[in-house]
Amino acid sequence: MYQIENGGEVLKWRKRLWPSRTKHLHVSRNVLLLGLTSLFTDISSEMVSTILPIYLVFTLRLAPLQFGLVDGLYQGAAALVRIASGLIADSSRRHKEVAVAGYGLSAICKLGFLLVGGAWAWLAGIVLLDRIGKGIRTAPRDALISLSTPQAELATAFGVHRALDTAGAMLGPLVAFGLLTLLPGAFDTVFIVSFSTALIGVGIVTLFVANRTPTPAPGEAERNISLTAALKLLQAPRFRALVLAGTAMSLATLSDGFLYLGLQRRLSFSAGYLPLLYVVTALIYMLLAVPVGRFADRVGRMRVFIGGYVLLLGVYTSLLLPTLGLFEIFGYLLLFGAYYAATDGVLMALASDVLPQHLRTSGLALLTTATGLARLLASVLFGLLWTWWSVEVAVWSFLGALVVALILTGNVLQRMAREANQ
Amino acid sequence: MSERHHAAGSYAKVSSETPPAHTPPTAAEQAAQPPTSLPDAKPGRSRILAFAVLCVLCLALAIGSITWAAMRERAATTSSQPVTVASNASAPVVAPTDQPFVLFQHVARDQHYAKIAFAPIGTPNESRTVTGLTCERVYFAAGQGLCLLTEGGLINQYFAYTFGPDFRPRHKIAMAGLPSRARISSDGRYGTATVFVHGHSYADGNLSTQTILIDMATGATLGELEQFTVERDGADIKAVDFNFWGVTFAHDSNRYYATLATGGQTYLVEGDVAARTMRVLRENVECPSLSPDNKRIAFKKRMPGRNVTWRVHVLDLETMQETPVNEARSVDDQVEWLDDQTILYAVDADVWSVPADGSGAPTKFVAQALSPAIVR
Repeated sequence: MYQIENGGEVLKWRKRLWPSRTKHLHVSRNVLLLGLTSLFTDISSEMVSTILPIYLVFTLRLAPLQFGLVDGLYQGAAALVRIASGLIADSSRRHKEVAVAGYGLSAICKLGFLLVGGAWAWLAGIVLLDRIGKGIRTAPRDALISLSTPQAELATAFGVHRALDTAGAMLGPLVAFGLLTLLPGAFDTVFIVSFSTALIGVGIVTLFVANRTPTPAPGEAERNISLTAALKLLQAPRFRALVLAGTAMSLATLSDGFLYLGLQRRLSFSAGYLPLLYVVTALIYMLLAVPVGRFADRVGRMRVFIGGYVLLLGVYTSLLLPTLGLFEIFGYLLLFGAYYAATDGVLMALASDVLPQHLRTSGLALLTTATGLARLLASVLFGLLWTWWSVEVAVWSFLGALVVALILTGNVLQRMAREANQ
Repeated sequence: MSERHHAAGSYAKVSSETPPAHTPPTAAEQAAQPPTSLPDAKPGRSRILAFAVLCVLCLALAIGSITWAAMRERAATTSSQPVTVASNASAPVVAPTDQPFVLFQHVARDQHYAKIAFAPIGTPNESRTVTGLTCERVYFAAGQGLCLLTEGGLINQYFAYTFGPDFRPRHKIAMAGLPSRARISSDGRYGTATVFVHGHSYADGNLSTQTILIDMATGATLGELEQFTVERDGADIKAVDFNFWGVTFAHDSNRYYATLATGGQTYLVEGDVAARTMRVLRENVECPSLSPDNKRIAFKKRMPGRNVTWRVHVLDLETMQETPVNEARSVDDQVEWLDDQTILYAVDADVWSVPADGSGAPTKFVAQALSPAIVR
């Protein structure tokens, strides 16, 4: 076990928040290294996604409109890639190598931005490749985290990884803005620095992360790894219940963009402050990811997961209350960050717990694809409701849907508990 | 770590396929390991060395590219020809009333960078007077000025200012994004500003424009062009992806032309401020600019091809015939008319002029300047 008690300054404060029975926070070296990989990769990718809109405006003018249209297609393509990479990782038992391929592809794409210049079709192609790289790496990386961690500490491990990942996502925009302030218009420098940072991430995962081979369950001599086998995972009641619960909740989940836009309309502050809302939420998520993960391991992950969505219900009320001040906004962002900490990594921990090791990557890919597509659909629905009626109608609908999803999830869990008792 | 946490086989063992560390554990060692501890292989020295080399290379690449960009910036500063700035620090700067002048954004890399300056039309390159006003886009007509700019560092805020002949801000209007175009009707009654908006549409990651009309006397916003009705071939049309930019006013200040973009195509529209209406006239016209005699429109026309390029054309409103001007470079600017025969536009941080009828050749009108406005 690798102890990060002394090394991880980020985690030092945690004792004050959650006095724990175990004095030391144990995280496998692999989890910490994968977290660092994600930190560097996220600095790199968030640098680019921060400046991409400005870059597109200055080099392409009109093209971003077309770009927005194909954005949905990209997400669909990335979802398909995710399942394929899950199957490849499971059948080859080379999770690490598949993840490296994904990290490497995204790193090369940063150079690609530099080379294609202003040709918008090529730029769109690079963005697609970048997303495909993300689709390739996510499931094998999460599987590696779960395979490197004892069952009882899964949520803690995912919490540590997500905290480092989010730290990178917050640093990236800062680096990009810093560079552009120093060197106005030097987009090529931003791409090169982003590429260098991504390479360090690729270096960590390639050189230091150890692959984990799933231990076959007793009597499971012949493992059948195929799309059919992966889909058969859905017949297992516990995993099916998780996929259904996750999808139902995601269908009733408001995306960050809409929440911030809604808050901005309510308070009519300048659109320039929108990134600040994102930063505050990410900061809270980063700070809470580890303690909430440990809490979930102790009191039950499903309870914490459902609790997270109850927090989200609270966040929705921010768009319905008659008055809203800056102080309240901060409170709501606190809830929103806590919701992320209680749901994102915890769902992966829940799934890792019920998925067999030999099909873990494919199972995680299936789950994230289902929840990802549900979120996309939810965003489209929310946009339509907002456009056709009003933001209040949209929020009330989502609030109702989330209550229904919570009740359904509660019922499924009760039934499962009864079946387990019989 | 307590024992109860470790169900046997709850996590995977290190793969035998993993490239071995410097000292691979023997089979006996592996067997001896208790099931409660995960055999985290310590990285070998060669791997640490390889990582150190990678970090040094990446750092060198990053520092190299930053240095190169900084040197490029400095080279641009020193190699550019010097421009003469008239210095008269004691007297407050006011717009001349006795002679026509060209107002522009001064972009020479000196202490006045991005400030608004003006020079006589006859000798625009001899000497310029720099004002205290900083803008990214500027326009001026009949004693009324309009200035668009970005303020702030990490969190950018965007504003439009109205100003008078003393170049002091009068009204401040919050804008939703990056400055793009500014124009004022010739009587100084209406102003119009176009900005690029991020996240204006409800779909995340989308970009669009916002064009507003301003009452120059009061600084009040009269509305967004997206709120006006648009008619095409006798029928009203409306779509979520409507975007407007590049307004130009006729002499009566009520009639205007602008660009409408929808479905990946741009259109020239003719509008009426009071009636809040627009009518589609023609395809593939961006950033129209009416000639002083109001008979022609200079505009940028998107050329077919993989790369985005625009060529300046002049459209005769009577015959609806368009003529390309003799400028081979791509121009991304709203043209300004020097007089009825000559147009002005910015390319690469200089303002150029070329005859409007397709003859002649481009000549540099004002060096190191953007966003020209002719004030007569």
